[in-house]
Amino acid sequence: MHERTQRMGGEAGAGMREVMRATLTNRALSLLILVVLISAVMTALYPKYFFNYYNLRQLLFYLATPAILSVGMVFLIVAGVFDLSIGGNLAMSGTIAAAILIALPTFPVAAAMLIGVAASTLAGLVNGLLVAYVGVNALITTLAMMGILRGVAIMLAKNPIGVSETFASVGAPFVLGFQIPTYYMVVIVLFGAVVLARTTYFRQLYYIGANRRAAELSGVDAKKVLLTAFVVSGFLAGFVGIVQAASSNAAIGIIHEGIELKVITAVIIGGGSLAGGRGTVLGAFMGTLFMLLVDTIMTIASVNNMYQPFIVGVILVLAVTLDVVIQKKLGAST
Amino acid sequence: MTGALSRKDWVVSQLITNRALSLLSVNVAIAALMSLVFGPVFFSLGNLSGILLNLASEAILAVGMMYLIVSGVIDLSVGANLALGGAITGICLQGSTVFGLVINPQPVPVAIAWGLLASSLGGLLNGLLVSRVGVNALIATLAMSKIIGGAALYIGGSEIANLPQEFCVLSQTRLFGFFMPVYYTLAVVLIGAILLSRSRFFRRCYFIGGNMRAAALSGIKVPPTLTAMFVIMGFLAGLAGIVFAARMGNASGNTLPNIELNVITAVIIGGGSLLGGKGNVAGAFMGVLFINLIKTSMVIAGIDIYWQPVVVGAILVAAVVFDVMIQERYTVNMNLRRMKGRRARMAGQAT
Repeated sequence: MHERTQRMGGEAGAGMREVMRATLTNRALSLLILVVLISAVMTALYPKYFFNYYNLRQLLFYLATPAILSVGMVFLIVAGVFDLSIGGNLAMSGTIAAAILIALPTFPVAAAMLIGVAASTLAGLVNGLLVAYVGVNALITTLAMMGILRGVAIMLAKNPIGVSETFASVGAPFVLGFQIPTYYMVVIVLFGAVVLARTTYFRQLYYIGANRRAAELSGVDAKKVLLTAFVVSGFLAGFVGIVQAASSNAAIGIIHEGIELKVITAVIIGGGSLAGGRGTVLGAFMGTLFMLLVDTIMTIASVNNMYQPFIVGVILVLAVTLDVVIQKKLGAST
Repeated sequence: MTGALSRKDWVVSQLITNRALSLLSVNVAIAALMSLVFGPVFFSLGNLSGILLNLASEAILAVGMMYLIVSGVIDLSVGANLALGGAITGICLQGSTVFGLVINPQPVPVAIAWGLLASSLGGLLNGLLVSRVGVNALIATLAMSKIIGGAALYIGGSEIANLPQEFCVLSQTRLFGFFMPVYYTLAVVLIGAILLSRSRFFRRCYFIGGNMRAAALSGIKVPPTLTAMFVIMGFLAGLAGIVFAARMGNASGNTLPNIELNVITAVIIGGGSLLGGKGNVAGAFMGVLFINLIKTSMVIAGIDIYWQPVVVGAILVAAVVFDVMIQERYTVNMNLRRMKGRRARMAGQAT
C-alpha cells in the first residue's frame, strides 16, 4: 500500500497517458467528446438557434436514415467489405411498396411494405452470394447493383408517388415530441451494437475482416457470415426505404442518391477501416452524428452553400489523416 | 508458349484471356447487328462520329484510371477534378475575382496550362495522401472529391458561359468528319497504351499492383511511382474537362457528375481488377466503347433511358462473374496443361 502511494506521483503522467490513449483508441468516446464540445461552442455562439427542442428534433429525425444504414454498413466494413447499393436499394423498397398500392388500391398496406423490404433483402442476398460465394469484389458487385436497383426505383417512380395515410403512419407521426424514425434508430443502433459486440456469430465478422484465410482455417464459415451481413444491410436499407417514404408522404425514385458514400465516410470517421477488422456500431453512430452536426452547424452559421462541400472535404481529409497518424504512433509504441 | 496449342485452342484462349480482343469482337458484333436492324440510322458516319465524341471524356479518364487500377488503387475524385480543370480554364479565359484575387483574361494556351496545372495539383494531393500518408485510396479520393469539387463549384459556380471562340474551336472543329475531341482521345489512348505496355516506369504499376510489398523489396520506389500515377490521372482529368468545356462553350462547377463510377465500370469490364496487377489500356478503351455502344443502341432501339443503369449494371456483374468463374479457371487449367507438357518433355529428355 505504502509503496503504491509513493509510486503514484511517478505514475500520474503515465496514468494521464493511459487516459489519452484510451480516448484516442475508443473512437466512439473521442467523437462523443468532440460532439459535446462542438455543441457547447455552438450553444454559446447561437443560443437561440442551436440548443432548442426544434433543432434537436430535426437533427434526430435527419439522423435516423444514415444512422440506421450505418449499422448495416459497419457490419460489412468490419468484415473488410462494403455496400454501395444501399441508396438504390432503399429507393427501390419504398417505390415498390408505393407502386403496388397505386396499381392495386385494395392491397393490404402492410403486405406491400413487406414486399418492398423483402425485395431489398433479396438484393442484399444477391450481393452476398456474388461477393462471398462467387468471389467478386464487393465494390464492383455493389456498384453494379447500385445501378440496377436505382434504375428499377426510377422506372417505378419517375415522379414521386404519394402514399396513403395508413402508409404514412409508420413514419410520419410524433411520439413524445419526436418523430417515429428517431425511435427506430435508437432501437436498431442499440440492437446492432449488442449483436456485433456480444454475439459469437457476428463477432466472427472481425476475424474475417482481420484475416479471412486465418478465420476460415480456424473454422469460421466466412462465406455464410459474410452473406448474413449483406442480407442485414439489404434488410436495413429496405426498412429505411419504407420509413423514408412514409415520413415524407411519397416514394421517390431518385431519393438519397449518393447516401452510400456518406454512410461509408461516417463509418470510417467512426473508427472503421476499409482494410477490415476495425469498427463498432457506436463509433459508426457517433461518426454519423458528427457528420450531420457539421452540416447543421454550417447551415446555422449561414456558411455559403458553395463552401460547404469544400469544408466537409477538409474535415474528412484531416480526420482520415489524423487516424492514420494516430494508428501508426500507437502501433509503434506497443 | 503458344506453340503447344492448336490454332483453335489459341483462338479460344485469346478470346477468353485477352479482354481487349474479346470486347472488340463483341463491339463489332453489336455494331453489325444494329446496322442490319436499323440500317442507316445506326450505320452512318454521323452516328459513329457522335458515339466517339460522346465517349471522349470517359475514354481519356479511363486511361489514367487503368494506370491506377493496375497499381491496385482507385480515384473517385476524377469527376470533380474534371470540373476543376474546366472551371479554372474558364475563369482564366474570361477573367474573374476569386478570393479577392483579380484575374485578368489570359490567352488560350496560358488558360489551358492553368487548368491542367490545377487538376494535376489535385492529383498530386491524392497521391501524397495515399502513398505518403497511407490513407486508403477509396477514402482519400472520396474526401478529396469533396475538396476539389467544392473548389470547382466555388470557382466555376453554376456556369461560366460564352467562352471565347478561339478556345472553342479547339473542340468544335471538324477534321475528316470527326470533331477534334475524337482525335485527342485517340492520341491519349494510343500514347497511354504504349507507355503502360512498353515503358519501364509505367510497367512498375503491374508489380506494385501485383504485390506492393514484393515490389518495394525488389527496389521499386512505390510512393513516388504511385504519386506520379495520381498526378497523371489528375492531368488527364483536367484535359478531359478542358476538351469538354471547349466543346460545350461553357464550363461549370459540376460538369458530368458521377462520371468516375462510369469510368471505373468501363475499366473493370475492360479487364482491370480492383485487386491490381491486371488490365491494359486497350481493354479500358474497349470497355468504354462497349458501354457507349450499348447505350446508343438502346436509345436508337427506343428503349427508355432509365433502363440504361440496369443494363450496364447487369453487364458489369456478368463481366466480373465471367472473370472469376471462367477466365480464372481456364487460366489455371491452361497452366496445369503447360506444366504437364513440360514435365512430359523433361521426362522424354531424361530417357
